[in-house]
Amino acid sequence: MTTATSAARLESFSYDDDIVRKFMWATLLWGFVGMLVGVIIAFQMAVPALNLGVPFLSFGRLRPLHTNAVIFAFAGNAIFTGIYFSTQRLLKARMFSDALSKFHFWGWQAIIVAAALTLPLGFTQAKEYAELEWPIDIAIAVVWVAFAINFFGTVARRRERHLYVAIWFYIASIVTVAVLHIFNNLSLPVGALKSYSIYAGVQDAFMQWWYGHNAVAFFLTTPFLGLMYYFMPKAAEKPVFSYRLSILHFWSLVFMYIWAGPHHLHYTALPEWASTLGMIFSVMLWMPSWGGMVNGLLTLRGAWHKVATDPILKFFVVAVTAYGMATFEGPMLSIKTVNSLAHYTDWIIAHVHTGALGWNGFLTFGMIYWLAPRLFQTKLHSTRLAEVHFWMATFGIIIYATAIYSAGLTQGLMIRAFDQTGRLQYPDFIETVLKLLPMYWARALGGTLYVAGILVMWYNVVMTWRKRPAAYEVPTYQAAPLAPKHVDPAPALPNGVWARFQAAHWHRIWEGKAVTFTVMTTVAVLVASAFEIVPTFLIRTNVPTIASVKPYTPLELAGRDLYIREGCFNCHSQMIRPLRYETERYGEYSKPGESVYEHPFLWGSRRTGPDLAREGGKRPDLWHVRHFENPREITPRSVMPRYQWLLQNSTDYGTIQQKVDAMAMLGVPYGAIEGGRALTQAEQMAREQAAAIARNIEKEGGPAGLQDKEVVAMVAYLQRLGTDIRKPAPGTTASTQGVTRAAPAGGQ
Amino acid sequence: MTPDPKGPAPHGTDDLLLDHEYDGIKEYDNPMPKWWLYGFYASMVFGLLYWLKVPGTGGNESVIAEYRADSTQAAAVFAQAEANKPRMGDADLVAMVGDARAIAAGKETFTKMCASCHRADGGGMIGPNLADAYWLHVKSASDIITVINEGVTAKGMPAWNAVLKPAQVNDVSAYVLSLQGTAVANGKAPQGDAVTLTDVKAPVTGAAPAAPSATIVPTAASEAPTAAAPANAGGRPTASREATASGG
Repeated sequence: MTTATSAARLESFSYDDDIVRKFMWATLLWGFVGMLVGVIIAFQMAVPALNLGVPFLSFGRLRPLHTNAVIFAFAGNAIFTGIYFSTQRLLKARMFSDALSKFHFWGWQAIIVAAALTLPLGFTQAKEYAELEWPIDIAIAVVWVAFAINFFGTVARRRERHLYVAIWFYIASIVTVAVLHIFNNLSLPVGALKSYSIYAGVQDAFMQWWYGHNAVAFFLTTPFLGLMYYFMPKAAEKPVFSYRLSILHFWSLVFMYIWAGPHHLHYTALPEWASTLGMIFSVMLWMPSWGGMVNGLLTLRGAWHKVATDPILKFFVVAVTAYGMATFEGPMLSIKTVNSLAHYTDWIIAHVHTGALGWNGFLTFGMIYWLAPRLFQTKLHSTRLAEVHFWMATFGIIIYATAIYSAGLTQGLMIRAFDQTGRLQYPDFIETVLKLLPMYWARALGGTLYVAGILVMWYNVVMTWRKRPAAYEVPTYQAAPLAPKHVDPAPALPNGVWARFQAAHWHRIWEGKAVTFTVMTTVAVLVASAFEIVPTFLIRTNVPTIASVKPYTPLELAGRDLYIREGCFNCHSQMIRPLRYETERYGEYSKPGESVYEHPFLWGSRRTGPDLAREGGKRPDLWHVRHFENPREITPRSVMPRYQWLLQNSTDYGTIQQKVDAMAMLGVPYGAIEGGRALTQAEQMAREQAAAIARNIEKEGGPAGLQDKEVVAMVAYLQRLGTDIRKPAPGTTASTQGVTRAAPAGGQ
Repeated sequence: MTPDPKGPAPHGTDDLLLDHEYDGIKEYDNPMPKWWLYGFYASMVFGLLYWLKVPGTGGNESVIAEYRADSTQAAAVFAQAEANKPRMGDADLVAMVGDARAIAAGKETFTKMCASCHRADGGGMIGPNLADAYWLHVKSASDIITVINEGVTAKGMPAWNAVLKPAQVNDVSAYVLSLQGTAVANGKAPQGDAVTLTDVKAPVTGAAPAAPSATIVPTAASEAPTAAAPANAGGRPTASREATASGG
């Protein structure tokens, strides 16, 4: 480009590497913190007492902290590090605004700190990877928009006409994450740090996994593919294997990923057409995903001898290989029958860790080792230590993965085993958990090794930083601005439509038009989303109503919020699948109509403990009280944490009316039951119900005077779960049998 | 900007280097690998065929239909197994109390499944005291088996038939029976009627060692119902009669 048309009008510019250094330090810090929390909860799985009996250290509250910290703090800062470094160079322009860069950096770190404070305190929306409450969600949206303005401003001021493939992936990520975040987090605030999702039940589950799956896609995959396309050829000093492959796999990935979300909800109350769509698009995603792996690995052709000596390339090779394995496994897990085995087990945990530890972690580590000497303008302190880190992390992953895949498969197979008398082979859920304990220990060990590797990297980077020059050199570059009118010189195009299409000159033209490119990407994402989301909301037969299903009483609602606060959904599902080994164990399978007042849905995704969808009436009240106080009194060796504070804390009766009102505003028909009494006397109703339950607990031989304690609200909620369909529905047929088939609305 | 159709081909191929370059990164104009491209096409064909085979519907019809078929089949298997289940009489259960293996197995199941409501020593808590002589739903020894199998769901006692295997139910019933008269401290106050569960006909031999413990005294004098013993479950009783241990 230096020989561009108007050499006379060369502009001088420099790159802002200070912001890249900031993001890199943040990546290092949060990577350690996020994964340390992971190791802590890994040990808690084996020894629940390790939460020290402190509410904010209990598994249900720390687990979302771990996932959020690793995804948004570690991977997030890693993405920003790479994007801020590469975008400036790929576009030959300094970031649009240094102030916006700083705002982005400090805003993002403040959000992370807010998350680290609120999640352990139990403020959560109860939607996976979208746990943060509404004020933080607004902050995320604001900071993300600032980032987008900064990024697209830089694109607008670029001195490189065409956008490189890394930039395509950045564009797709920035646009889509904004869309996903905003639509999934729409909620009605009930207090400073409390809100209810505006969607309920099936729709909420659908939105959540449209979001959840695409958070994986557009936060952990596409931005990292962009980073790979920059740092891999840089480190290998080789050209990218195939330009045409990058075009096809970029567009197919962006378009198809969006559809795949429902594969997280196979066999649930989600309509089957959505589940089927999710499955077939997941299968079709296999090759588009592998396109990235192929392009990465084949870029190393002729450079494999370097891999032997260069830890950076080693990290990249393992990262891309892990990506390949995870994106083969993903389509496989999306096949319904495979999914029935893996869902709710540690297999899914193993799958995400292949991606997070292998792909995101290793790509980040390789990138940091490549960046550190360049950013600190000196040599890396020790290549040998980087090599040590590589092997520690590799063995860490191997130990982790072996253990936790075994755990997933073991539990999956035990859960579905029947004996020759037609009974479950392992009817006692705890049997399937105790079998996993040795594997949990091994997993914690593997994780510890991986985190220890990060400390080695810390040391290496800090020592490199100490060798930095007194003042960083800021080189100036020169390039011509973009000519206002530009026409891509047409090469000799082959004859025939298909041949012309394959020649990809049309795409070359798009690459020169940033607005067109961004619009096309956005259209791909939105069209795919609309095809799935709109029918889910419009087809009434998707969610056949059940007349006997009524809203929760005020006290039950308060109990439900405690269930959310404690993060019970992290270990207990509330969704019985229509599979015989589920219904034998838990009772009748869950119907869509049972979730219609569930703001948010609490179906869960992992069963470390049994499903609770039909918990109501299964056990006496006192059983629950004693179980909360100490689960091991009831089930020897249970791994559930103690919740003794539920017996000590007083129920917050003051906010119950507000909660009922909010639910009513969201369409829960409180006005139609008991003459709308809950709309005016919610607190009174809650106190009456609590007193009745407390009396019963006392009658059963339990402690007296529990009526104002949280445990009573929790018991009220649990005893209601799944009981409504057993009640008679006056004057209605409460069955889902008569539902007429709806049009196959998703596919055309 | 100078077109450079033949770039360096490090591994001896004639890959075409494209004429663009970004921050030093160049790209080859290689075609997509055939296996990759055909794999992609194949997955799309699969997707289309699957969609045609499992059409989108309003609800979960095909999944539910599969589930129903599975359940019907399983119900038949279960019913068959139930029909073949050996019936336990009062005397059979009393005899089992003398079976050390049965009592040990029963105790293990009791600790896991029952102790949470009836207390580890059977003294009662949420559920009634099983160590005293008062019973709510039991008139004779084998009623224990019935109550465990069918539960008293209205009062919170689950039905264990679908969970515990028949042999396990027998073992735990024998264990419960063996708790009769054990002096449990701080037991729950008596509920129901006093029933002498030990008032059954003695097993065949009626020998002294068969008397499981001092607390359960079969009326050894009466005639033994010889028919009862063979009806007992799977050969266990004969062997058990030598056992003298009881109550774990």
